Amino acid sequence: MLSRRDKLYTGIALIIFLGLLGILNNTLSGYHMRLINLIGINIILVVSLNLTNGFCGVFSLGHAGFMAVGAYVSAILALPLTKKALVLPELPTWLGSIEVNFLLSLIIGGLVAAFFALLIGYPVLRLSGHYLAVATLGFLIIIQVLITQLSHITRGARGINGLISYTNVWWVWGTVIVTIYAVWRIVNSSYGRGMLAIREDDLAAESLGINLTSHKLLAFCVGAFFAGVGGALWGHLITVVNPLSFDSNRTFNLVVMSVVGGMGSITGGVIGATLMTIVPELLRNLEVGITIFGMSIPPLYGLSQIILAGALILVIFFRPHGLVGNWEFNWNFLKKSKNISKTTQNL
Amino acid sequence: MDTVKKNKIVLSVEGITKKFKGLVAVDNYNLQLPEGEIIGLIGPNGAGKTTVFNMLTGIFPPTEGKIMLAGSDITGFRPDHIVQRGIARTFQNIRLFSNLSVLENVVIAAQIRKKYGFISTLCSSASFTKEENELITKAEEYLEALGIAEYKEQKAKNLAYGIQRKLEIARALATNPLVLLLDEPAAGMNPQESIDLMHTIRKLKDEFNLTVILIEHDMKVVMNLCERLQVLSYGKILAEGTPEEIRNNKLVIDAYLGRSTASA
Repeated sequence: MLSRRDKLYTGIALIIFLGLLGILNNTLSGYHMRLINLIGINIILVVSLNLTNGFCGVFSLGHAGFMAVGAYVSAILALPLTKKALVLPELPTWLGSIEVNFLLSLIIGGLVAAFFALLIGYPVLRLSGHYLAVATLGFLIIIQVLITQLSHITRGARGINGLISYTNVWWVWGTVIVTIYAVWRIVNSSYGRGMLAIREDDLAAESLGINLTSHKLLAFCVGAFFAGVGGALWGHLITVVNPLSFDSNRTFNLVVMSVVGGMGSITGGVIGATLMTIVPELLRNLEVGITIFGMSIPPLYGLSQIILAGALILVIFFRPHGLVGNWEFNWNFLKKSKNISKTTQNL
Repeated sequence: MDTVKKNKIVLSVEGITKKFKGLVAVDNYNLQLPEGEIIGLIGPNGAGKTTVFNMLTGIFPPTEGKIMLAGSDITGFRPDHIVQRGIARTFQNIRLFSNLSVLENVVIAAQIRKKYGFISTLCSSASFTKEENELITKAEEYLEALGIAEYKEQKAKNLAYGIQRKLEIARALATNPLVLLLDEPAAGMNPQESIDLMHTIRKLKDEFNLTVILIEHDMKVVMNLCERLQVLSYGKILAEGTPEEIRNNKLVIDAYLGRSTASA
């Protein structure tokens, strides 16, 4: 629970942050703004993944599958009717004749993803550890096959292009705030404590009255909801959705972000997502050939990948629980210097 | 003693049996447990004592037989339902939530009676805040009762062994049980700690109006604490009676106690 002081600080920080985003939005190039939006989308995806994988200990590799569901649902719903007739002529009439606004399409996309999580979660969440990871990976493959095969709805492997680029900095970072708020509320409630208990020792948790299935399902479905919303935002950012965008590679990327930052922490999710979006972009500059003191170094393609992989190994070696572990951001560092005498008095 | 006998039966177990494939782990176990009694379950390793606990708490259902708690049949219920009905337990090999704080460990158990829903969690409504504060106060009371409130901010895994055992008891108590099952609470404790624990259990029993089933190898603890003992051997009840009777029972001495301990 936040004290009044913490609420104030958080409010101020939010206002400053949003102001900064507004300024950046008007000054930075399209490339940089897209990078900032990608960071935001990855934060949504990784923080929601942390709820399932990190807090509840349900190690899922299906996150990209839920992204795909959200992205496709939202893309089909939000496509303007004129374009729909052109791009998706074979759509069933009830789908072909509706166009919903972007916000609603995001929410429905998320809800459908959560519904899929409910369907597969019920049988699959009885498994644990590696078995669960493999089963969720299976779900990801099923989703990809479904999207490829249901070509009258999804246009199969060609994907749906020509989406309107609704996604902008406000949609993305607004959703980031909602995601972090929701996950933070859940984690700091009986639901979240139940999830932590299941992660720590499911047998003991069950013997203390925690319903394993309902808690795991809650974590899984909320995770899937935000994955769906994140996928929908992503689709409307690059204006194309196709099955290959949501393959196991993407899932593994998200898992890496989560592990690097710290699985059992919201802060860890934010940091992991941010770093693992920015650093590869920066490293990419290394791959262009440069000339130093008359010596020309040819472009070394793949160098950025090698450096990134090496850095990951180092992080896992020195910080096996991720960069921040289970630590959460708080405002206490502001208090320490001034109020030590006050707090000791209160004790 | 006489008052105890008049008390109504809170837990009644009729002929529960557990078979793992061909192996009969527990065979026809019976128990009539009056309210407020402390009964001891003793016997050699592998006799099936923990299996009895696992059946009573729903970790696995009995192959045969019936378990009645306060008049209603709970045979085959899931563990979380059974603890909600009022049987709580500790584990032989401590099973704390090691990376969580001592307070969190107990709050998780206390939240068994929480009422707020998912929406009030998201909105952080007034009822949510009120109930959360109540949960914390309650959890602190249980820590207080076991004398370990000073450790509440520490991670469970950093506690000394004896404190961990107490935390496990506090956690089980926080579910507000009718019957408390303690699985070797004194294991690994030194003699002084065992005696402390004995007093604590007796105190808690009175304070929280508990009925206790105790598995324990420390004969001093068992003989002093329990009003009645059951001896299990190879899955069967070998003998049943007061500590005095058990101590002098030939079968029990041969199967479990041995000659020197019998005089303890």
